[in-house]
Order: sequence, then structure tokens, then C-alpha cells
Amino acid sequence: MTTFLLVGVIVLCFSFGDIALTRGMKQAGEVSSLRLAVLNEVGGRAIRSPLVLLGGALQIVAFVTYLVALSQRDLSYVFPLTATSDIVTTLAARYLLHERVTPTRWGGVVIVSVGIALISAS
Amino acid sequence: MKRDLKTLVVLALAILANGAGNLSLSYGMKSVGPPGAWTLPGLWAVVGTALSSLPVIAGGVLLLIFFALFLALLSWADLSYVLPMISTCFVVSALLGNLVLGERISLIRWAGIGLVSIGVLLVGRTGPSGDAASSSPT
Repeated sequence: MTTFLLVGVIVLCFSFGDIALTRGMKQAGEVSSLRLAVLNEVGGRAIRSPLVLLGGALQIVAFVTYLVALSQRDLSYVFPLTATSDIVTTLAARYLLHERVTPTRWGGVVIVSVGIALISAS
Repeated sequence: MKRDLKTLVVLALAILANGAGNLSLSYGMKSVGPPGAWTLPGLWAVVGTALSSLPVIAGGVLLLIFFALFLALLSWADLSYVLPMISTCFVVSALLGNLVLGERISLIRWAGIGLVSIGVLLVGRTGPSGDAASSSPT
């Protein structure tokens, strides 16, 4: 029971962390070239972006919660459950970031998630 | 078109950095060894030893580079594209673990590797940003 609660926290933190990172990076501007000046400029904006910082913090919370869950259950039990976060993130990207998720992309995401679950379940 | 190429190149670099980073971490941590006791001082001792191991530090730096490249991708590409594409990391890590560290890959794991590859090929066909590819010519 507590494991499912922990997995819920992990999935939500990963998903909303990624959403915050994406929105923050879209605001920071495109990394349009690998010239140092561009990297410096976009990187500087990214590091100061509250959304990027929030996203990073949520990822850290997710990771620590993941370690706690691993201390209770086997990796092969916990990790496949967290693979559902890709599906939650795609839903969030569709409705919060208004990305166009075509049926092909949906199919790919679901197949990838099942694949990740299998890789880690064995 | 040019942007699609840029996306694929940065994706490939990110996946390589991730694979090499995990390999280096795994190799380094094996020689650091498990904590003597699962207590705070015991764990702290492992962290101390790990931070003086060159492969562990190199692995950490490579994973930081991975994260920076991931953020760069998100600055122009869809999250719903980048996330599944980045899952190639699982395949690369499993294969590197097998080839370099001699870890066994079970039949179920091979099936997972196959599914992730098929899924990535599907998502790859949709292009980095769902709308920009078809409508806006920016």
C-alpha cells in the first residue's frame, strides 16, 4: 500500500517536473547553436528560470522518493511501475503544454513504456 | 528539416553521454562496494569513497552533460517527442552492460529492448514538434 503511494508521488513528481522543465526551457529560448555565447545566454536564463528550478527540484524529490521505495521493494517491482510516468507525462504534455500528440506518437509512447517495464521487470 | 537533423544529433549525444555515464558509475561503484551498514554513517562512508573514485566522478559529470543536453532538446522540441526518444537510453545501457560488463540479458529483457526500439521508431516518425513539421514554416 505505502509502495503504491510512493510510486504515485514518484510518477507525479517526474511528470510535473518534466512539464515545468519544458515550459521553462521554451521560455529560456531555443539553443540555436553550439556557440559559447548562445549556450551562455540560454543557460544563464535557464538557471534563473523559476520553472526550470521547480522542475529540477521535483526531479530530485522524485529521485529521493524512488530511493525510499527501493529500500522497501525490489527494483524489478518498483521500476516497472514508474514506467507509467511516460504515459502520465504524455497526457500532461497534451493537455497542459498543448502539444499535438498524434496516434502514431501515442502508439510509440505506449509500446516504449511496456518495453521499459519488461526491461526492468526481469 | 535542418531542425530535425539537429534534434537527432543532440539526441544521439545525450543517449551516448547517458550510456557512458551509467557504465562508468556502475564500474566505479562495484569497486567502491556496498555500504558496510545501512545506517547514516555507513552510507556516508560509501559517498566519501565514491567521490574519490575517478570512474564515479566521470560518470556523474557525463550524467550532468546528459541533463544539459536533455534541457537543450526541450528548448525547441516537444516533451512528448523527447521523452520516449530518450528511452533509447535503456536499450543502450542494457547493451553496454552486456558487452562491457558481461551482464546477462534475459529473454524478457530482450523482448523489452525490442519493444522500446519499435516504439522509438514510431515516435521518431512523428518529428520533433507535432505541428511545426506540417503547418508553420518558421
